[in-house]
Amino acid sequence: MLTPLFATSQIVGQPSVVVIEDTSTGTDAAVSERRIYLQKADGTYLRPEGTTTDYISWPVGTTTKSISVLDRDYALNVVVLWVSSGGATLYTKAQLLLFTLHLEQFYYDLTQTQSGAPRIVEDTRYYDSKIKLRCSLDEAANAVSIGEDIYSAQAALDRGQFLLDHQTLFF
Amino acid sequence: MATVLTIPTILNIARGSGYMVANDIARGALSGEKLDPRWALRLYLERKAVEWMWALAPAYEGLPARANYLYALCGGYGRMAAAVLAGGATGTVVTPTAPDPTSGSGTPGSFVYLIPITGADFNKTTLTEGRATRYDNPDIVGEQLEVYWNGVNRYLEAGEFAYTPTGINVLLEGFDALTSHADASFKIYIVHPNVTVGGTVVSGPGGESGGTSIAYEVDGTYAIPAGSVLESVVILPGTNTSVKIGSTAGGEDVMPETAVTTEGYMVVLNLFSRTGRTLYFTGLNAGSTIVFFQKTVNLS
Repeated sequence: MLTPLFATSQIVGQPSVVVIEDTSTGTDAAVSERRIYLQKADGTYLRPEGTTTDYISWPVGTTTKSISVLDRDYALNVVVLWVSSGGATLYTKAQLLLFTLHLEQFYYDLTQTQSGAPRIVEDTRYYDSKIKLRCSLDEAANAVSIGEDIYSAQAALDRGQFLLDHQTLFF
Repeated sequence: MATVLTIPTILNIARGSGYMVANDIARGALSGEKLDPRWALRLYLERKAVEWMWALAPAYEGLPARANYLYALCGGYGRMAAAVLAGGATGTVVTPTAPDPTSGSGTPGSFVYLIPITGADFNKTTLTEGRATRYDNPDIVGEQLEVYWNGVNRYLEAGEFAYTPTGINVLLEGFDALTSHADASFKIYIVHPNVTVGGTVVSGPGGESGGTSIAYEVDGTYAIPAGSVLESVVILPGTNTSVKIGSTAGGEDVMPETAVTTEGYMVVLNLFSRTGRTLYFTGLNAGSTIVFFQKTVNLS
């Protein structure tokens, strides 16, 4: 009998990579494969290039799986299925999770820039924009932790992404 | 003596400074001293950046500089927050004093400066997940160590490095002496090298006024450093017992078996050692303490 569970993490310097770790307890010999679904707020699925299925296959026998799939930050409904050799789903675990390394790294880099050139904060729009970026990240986190609301979370990340995409205008 | 604030301390100071400056801004808006109305906001924004990176990758290159920038932004409120953190009364942040390399040669109970190393000294063949994290040196094997890394401006804490059969392994996520931290600078100290068996230093280093007090729970040893004179010891057993001191385990060539009560017993030894010598204390029991009076001899 398996108690399904997984955890995710990201690595500084590799914002496109999501690392998934199987933290399940117990064993079940009938499990022959795991399948990872990274579902976006619009209902579609993130998958690495070349993957033809909505899911990403994760063979049993490995504890962690690194997937390079995040072209930007997302709120994702991460679903892992533990399936049998016949393809029947034996266990399911789903979690609504935030992946914010692109924006957080950008935010940190702004502070890094400031400490090297402190007068940049005197630029008219600088702090207005930085506040918006911080709020976007906090709002996304709150939307997930308080509201379990993937749409609002993604909308907040989109607002942050706009600042990142047009950083020469805002910072 | 200047002390280096750790990043967690700076984060705490920034948290405290944030609410203090926000209160002052609110109170002083009409007739008080003019404060930057965005000061608290800035503190919050910059703290979040440092806080995030510290949680995710405390070894991230340049993070201490970002933290120092945050501390600078706290201004005078940083000192007030530090006082609050120190207990709310007076004073400032309590940070441990760095070991004194010059006191290690002959003073029991102190740190002994061993060797400064850089990323270049790390083992480049035995890798951890492709990263060079191991430093091997037979001189530090089996010793209690304190490891200071300039990259984080503090001693590594429990869980941030591990002892290995050949040295140490730096566990900080992202640390890699092969690439990103090739120029990292460490100082490794052996803690209390004179206590080898059964003892725990509870005070010291000792001077002429008080000696160095070492707690023992069972029979133990004491190493007289090279070039030192152990003038006398005061033995304070946990309960009445008989104690003997020798050059070998169970020996009594230094002091024959002697009844010692909890009142204490002082014995003058005047033992000089040019190359170092270990004394064995037999008969100690739980709660025992021995105070050592020792001097370093100038042999030059």
